[in-house]
Amino acid sequence: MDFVILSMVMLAIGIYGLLTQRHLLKVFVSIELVATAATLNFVMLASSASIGVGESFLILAFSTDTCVSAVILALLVIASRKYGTTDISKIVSPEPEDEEEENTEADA
Amino acid sequence: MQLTDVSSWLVWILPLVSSVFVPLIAKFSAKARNYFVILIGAVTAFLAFTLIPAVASGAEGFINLTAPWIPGGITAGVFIDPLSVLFACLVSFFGLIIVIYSQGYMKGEANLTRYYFFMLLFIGSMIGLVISDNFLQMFIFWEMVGLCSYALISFWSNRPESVKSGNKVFLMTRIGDILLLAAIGILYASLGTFSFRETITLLPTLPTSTITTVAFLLFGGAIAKSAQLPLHTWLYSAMEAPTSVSALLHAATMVKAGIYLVARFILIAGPLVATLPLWLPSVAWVGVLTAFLGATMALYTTDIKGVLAYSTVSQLGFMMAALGSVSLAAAASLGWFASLFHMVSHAFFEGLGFLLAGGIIHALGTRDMRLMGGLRKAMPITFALAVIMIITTSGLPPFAAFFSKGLVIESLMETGTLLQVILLFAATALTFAYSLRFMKLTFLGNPSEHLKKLHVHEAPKIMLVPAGILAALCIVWGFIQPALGSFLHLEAETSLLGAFFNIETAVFAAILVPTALLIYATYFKNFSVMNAIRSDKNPVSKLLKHGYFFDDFYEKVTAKAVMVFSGGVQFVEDIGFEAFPQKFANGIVRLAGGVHKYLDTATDQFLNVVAGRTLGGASKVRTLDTLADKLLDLLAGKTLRSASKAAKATKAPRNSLQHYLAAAIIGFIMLVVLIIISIGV
Repeated sequence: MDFVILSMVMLAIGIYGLLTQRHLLKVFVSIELVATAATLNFVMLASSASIGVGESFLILAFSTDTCVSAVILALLVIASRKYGTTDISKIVSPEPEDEEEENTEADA
Repeated sequence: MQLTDVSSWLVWILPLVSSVFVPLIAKFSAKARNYFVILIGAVTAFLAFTLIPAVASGAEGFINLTAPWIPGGITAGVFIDPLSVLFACLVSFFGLIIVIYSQGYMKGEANLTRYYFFMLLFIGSMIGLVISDNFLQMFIFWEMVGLCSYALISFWSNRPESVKSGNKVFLMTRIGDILLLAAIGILYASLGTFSFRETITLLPTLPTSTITTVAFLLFGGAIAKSAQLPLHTWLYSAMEAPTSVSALLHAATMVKAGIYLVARFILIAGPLVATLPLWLPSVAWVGVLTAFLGATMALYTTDIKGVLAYSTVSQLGFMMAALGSVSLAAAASLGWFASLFHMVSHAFFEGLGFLLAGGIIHALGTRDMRLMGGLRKAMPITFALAVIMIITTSGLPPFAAFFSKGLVIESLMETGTLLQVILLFAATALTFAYSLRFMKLTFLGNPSEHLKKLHVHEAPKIMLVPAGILAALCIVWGFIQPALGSFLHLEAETSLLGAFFNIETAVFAAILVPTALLIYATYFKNFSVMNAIRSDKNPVSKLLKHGYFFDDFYEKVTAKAVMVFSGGVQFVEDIGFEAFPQKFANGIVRLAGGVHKYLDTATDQFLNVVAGRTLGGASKVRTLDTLADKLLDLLAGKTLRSASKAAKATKAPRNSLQHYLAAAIIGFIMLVVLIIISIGV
């Protein structure tokens, strides 16, 4: 039960970080927290139900998580290089092309 | 039977596995890759069609093959029954058609390896979704299908709109995924199994409240995936995808996953489904409203693919409404059959519509219908096929949708309310209207200014042949109804000939005439009354142009709410968690400043005063000292003088040295005395 609470706390911290942080790396850390909380939850519930799959699932989940983190980190490096900033709110919509589209749709 | 055992597994594993080989083969040559993809598509279609005989002759209703998967009682498996085979055949056949079409439509595009990889992955996972024998496996494929949809919508990843639409579609369908996952979780928690077969036997043991919750959650998943109200807006955004993708995923197959889910649940629950409070009426109402509102929105969009997208939304509503009219055991009821019948005929005519639109976009380079017009002469074959498509879409006899749509309305007439039937009739009339409008804006009339600059050419043969096959199926499909009825074990009475003479057809014909007149007056004769109605000042047209403000609502309200929430949390963070330590630190700094100012300075000044006093005292002592020195000098001078006088002695030594010597000697003596005392000798 303690581990469930721990994973809930980790989830809460992760979501809190996702809501408040604007730095790419901090957001990434928050995502990792959420993912780890989920993994922990799964594994602990599996072990409390004494199904042997939990342990193997742990290894599987960790290896996939590592791969995902590697890809995300690579993407973060590319993004920060391309946009020259690590602030997420500045990366969202850098292209000005949307406005032209709206103009053509507006005249009926 | 042996063939079925193998092919029921291979039919979804083969495309999944061979999708991984697409990038490998692309290393050798692009041509080999294209042929490989077509070959796999053809083999998959063949494997899917080999499943038909076993099901058609099977008396028990379904074949369930399993293999061990996760230790702890969870197995992977295939579930072959008429429903899954119907879907598998449709998906594999359409996959083949689209893969062939893509050879023409996507010619010369970059990153085609990625495109074909996701295409094969999609075909494999979609067949896997409909052929799975348990909820867990189905959910995995459900997610994979969503992933493929996302990746293919964002295929032109250098266009920001595509990427944005991909994200939007992914997030909106995610809502349904969560609901579906919740439903599966509740089922597993209360039954301890994922398997369909065990669920069929165990489900009646559950309390009605649990089953109702599960049913509504499953229906929520279906709403998101099948673009029903109020989550239908993603389908319009999905039109950023290449047109071939729209045809396969967003018209023919993927959006039908929700229909499949509801149809499957009705099969699993059996007669139980009619006892669930409010469930069937809500399915029917959501379907009817979606059918009506989707059709009205299709009447106002200027995007050629937008018309087809809203048309798809509307037709999916028809299917959902038919599913909601189920009253008896599923396989025997008319609504269940009508829904699936219409599902297939919709796949044919909407797929055909997308293929033709793809050809037009390919030739003109624009999706705006106001820039089109008069394409009839430039693209005669496309025009001929489009006529078939339009007639089928609007449900005119004797094409496919005439029979299927007739059955849908008939099934609702049996069990639904009068308002539902009226709304459905209105939706069919609107379908006819937007089809005519599509025809007028695109093919008839005079070429626009934009077209005069272009040299418009007919679509290449490799794009026309798949469209031709679909057009032929549009014509023929309606007459297959009795065969399909026996294939799906339909027990209700239907007859082909009766479809022409029942009350539904009469009403339908009666409302088509005024609709046609209205459209004629609006688009062909430009009546001023109709133009006034269509003008932007009219609130109704404004409402329709913005798609009932669903998207604006989501963007303005939901997105704003999230942003406000995030801002609020950040505000709390700013004053609570981040500012508090800062304020604390600031306080300490200020305290230190105060301490420095008052205590330190005071001490310093005290020391200064003491030092000053000491200095003053010292200088006084020094003046005394000098005075004493001078006195001594005087005395010594006199003594010296007297001494020199007496003995003419040399210069006297400096008296200060003597003082130092005397002090040193006294000090040394005192030290020695102290040492002696402390040693205690």
